[in-house]
Amino acid sequence: MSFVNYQRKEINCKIVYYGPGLGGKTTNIQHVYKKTSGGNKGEMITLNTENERTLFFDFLPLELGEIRGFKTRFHLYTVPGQVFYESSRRLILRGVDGVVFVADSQVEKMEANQESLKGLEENLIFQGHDLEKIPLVMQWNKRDLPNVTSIEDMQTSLNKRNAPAFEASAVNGDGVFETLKMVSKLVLMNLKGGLN
Amino acid sequence: MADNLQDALRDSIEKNRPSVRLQKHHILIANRDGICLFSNREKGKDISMGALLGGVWQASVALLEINKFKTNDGLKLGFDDGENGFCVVAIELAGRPCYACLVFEQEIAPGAVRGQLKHWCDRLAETLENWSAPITRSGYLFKDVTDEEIDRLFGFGGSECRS
Repeated sequence: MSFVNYQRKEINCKIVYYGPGLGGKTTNIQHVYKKTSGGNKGEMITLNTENERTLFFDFLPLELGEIRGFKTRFHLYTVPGQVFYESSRRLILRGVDGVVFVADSQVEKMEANQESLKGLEENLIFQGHDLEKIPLVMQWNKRDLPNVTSIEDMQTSLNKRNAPAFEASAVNGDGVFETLKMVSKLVLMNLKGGLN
Repeated sequence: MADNLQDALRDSIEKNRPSVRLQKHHILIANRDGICLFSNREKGKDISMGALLGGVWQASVALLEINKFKTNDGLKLGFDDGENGFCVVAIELAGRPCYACLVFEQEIAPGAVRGQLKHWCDRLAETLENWSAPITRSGYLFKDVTDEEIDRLFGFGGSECRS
């Protein structure tokens, strides 16, 4: 989706937060929304089910500053995590420039994490992406809870690509911006189309 | 000659103004991913509207695909109460699938304005049929990005947003 207007010097990129249900994807972008000042953020859109689970997507447009003279805008999306919204997840990944995989660190959620990661890989391939090339950042969320898998085991089970990974407690805001900044950096470095 | 589709579209619209009746309402043209290419209203809502319309359109197309409906090129979408609502029509700009949305209020004949929107879009598509970016760009826009540059980008939200 990345859209670069060279005359106006504007960059638009799409970042998708992906992961199992109740893993904290929406909490991540809610925290970003809360912490960004008025001029930098657009309206956050949430399309929820009756019990406040993500139905289709959450969306937050984030206007950052300039990088080398280019105004930068990131469009943050989350996918619905619940298993039966597979077709929605596939749609939201269309045109994605970078992915944050939000894994739930709780021991009993490992299987759900693995299943979701497998779905991500399949859906990216379906949308024509090269898994080796798409910017990906892993986030080990809910590290504040007592019954969590060790970081080493999270890495071994979920991060075979050795993508950059961050510990987080999105509900407290820990690790949220570190994750976003890393995926932003990778996305910007992956933008095609030199100035010459 | 415009360097990119957004500016080429703006130039084309300068030469092919929408009808007065269309101009009374909010017209938004976005690419398939929901990036706004043109809007005749204030900038504030366009980004969110583009994202929602992208979602609505893609979900609608997926609904057709699930049901294996055969369709021709004239897909359109509408949601209104008879006088308030929106309609969307597909438009191909320089070979790229896009869509145009009209958000209307107190419109006595939504079907008629949708027809006008489609007609106007066909004219725009025709003028941009052979447009292509004059410069072929290769390589990467930024070869490397430093942590300091990223910190500056995120410098809006106090210490938490910085490394």
